[in-house]
Amino acid sequence: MAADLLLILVVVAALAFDYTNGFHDTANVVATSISTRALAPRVAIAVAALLNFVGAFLSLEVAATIAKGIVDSGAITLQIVFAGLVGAIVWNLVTWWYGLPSSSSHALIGGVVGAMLVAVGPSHIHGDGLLGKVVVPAFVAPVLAFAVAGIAILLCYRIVGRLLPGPVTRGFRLGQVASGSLLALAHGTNDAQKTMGVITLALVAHGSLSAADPEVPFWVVISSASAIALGTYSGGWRIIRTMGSKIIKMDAAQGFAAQGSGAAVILAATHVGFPLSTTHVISGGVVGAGAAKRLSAVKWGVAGNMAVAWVLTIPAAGLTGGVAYGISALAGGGTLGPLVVCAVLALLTGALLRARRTPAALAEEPTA
Amino acid sequence: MSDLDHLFDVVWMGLLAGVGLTVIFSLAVAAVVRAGTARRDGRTGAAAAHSALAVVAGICCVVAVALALVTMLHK
Repeated sequence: MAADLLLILVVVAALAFDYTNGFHDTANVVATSISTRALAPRVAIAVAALLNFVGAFLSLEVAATIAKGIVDSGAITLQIVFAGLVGAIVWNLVTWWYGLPSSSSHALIGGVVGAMLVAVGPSHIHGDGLLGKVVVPAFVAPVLAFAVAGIAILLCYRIVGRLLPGPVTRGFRLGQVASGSLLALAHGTNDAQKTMGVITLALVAHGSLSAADPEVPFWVVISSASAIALGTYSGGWRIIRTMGSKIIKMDAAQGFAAQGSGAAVILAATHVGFPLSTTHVISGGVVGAGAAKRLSAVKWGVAGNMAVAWVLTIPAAGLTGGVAYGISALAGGGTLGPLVVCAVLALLTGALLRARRTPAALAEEPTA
Repeated sequence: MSDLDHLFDVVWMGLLAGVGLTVIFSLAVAAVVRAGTARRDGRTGAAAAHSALAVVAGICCVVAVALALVTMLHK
């Protein structure tokens, strides 16, 4: 009974993470299409949600058990996975609140690494894996996408620069529908897989699935696909505003160059087996497409805030994951620990919402 | 294959695919616009040439999208 309850908690946390991943990350994919008016906002979100749903079914190779090659998978327990998910969800919500695009995958890895550090110490964490699979790609992705989108938009302007702007804009808006759809599909194939991997891992640990050759149950596929699609459909408007208009005011050609270059870089990386973060790639593409036209067109303060959020993602999610595991362990671990973490999170959320609803003048009055 | 080799492959493939896709699509857009202008001006030869270029570039873009889908399906 206790083991069943723990499994349910982990599954619910994994689906909650998937939902935040949908509204947090897919915003990056559709933001440029919305800002250049290639698609109406609700239509763009609906198309992205549908393609994320479909993408989740395209490839079911759940090699992506979480943090593979980064932590010792034999030492992962359900409590660690739960704490890692809490770290990732909290960081996703914080960055969403500030409208900052950051990688949900890195948040998940950070959360799990933090929980592992507290649970079993640093000996079960592969530093070289963390460097090669997370840190290096985190630097490569935005720089490469920046360069590709920058070169692409310069060549594009040379080709279409002297033509009538009206038909050219319409042409690139049409192209953006295709490039944005490709990005959304790629996002669905990548990110819904992670949630499927987490739930499958939980089912193996629970004993519901064979550890030797775990088949992903259909309900896991459909629930993960639905969670990411629902998250996408709810729309991460704060991040859409940042990506679509706060970094640069882009035209349709820039939007296509950013999305097309982003899709090409992500799929080239997928082909080679060197997965890059969709968020980092598309953000780099947007800044590159803007900077190539005019350096001063880019709001570098906003871009700098994004870079800071990226650097902080793993440590902050790790710290939260570690604290969540610590609270869980102090409460006795088992099933009770994660329940206490849920209660603490609910209390904190309630306090935050209460503080926001209290008018400032009232809040300043003496309470005596 | 080391991570560095993977990285090198990602860089050149990403550059080639990203820049290539944008250039080819730009050529398609430019060819469609020029074909329309030529047709309105009564220059049928130029219109046909631009239309042919638009079709070829369009086919290249469709092939690129198909390759992208194959990559997603076989990862």
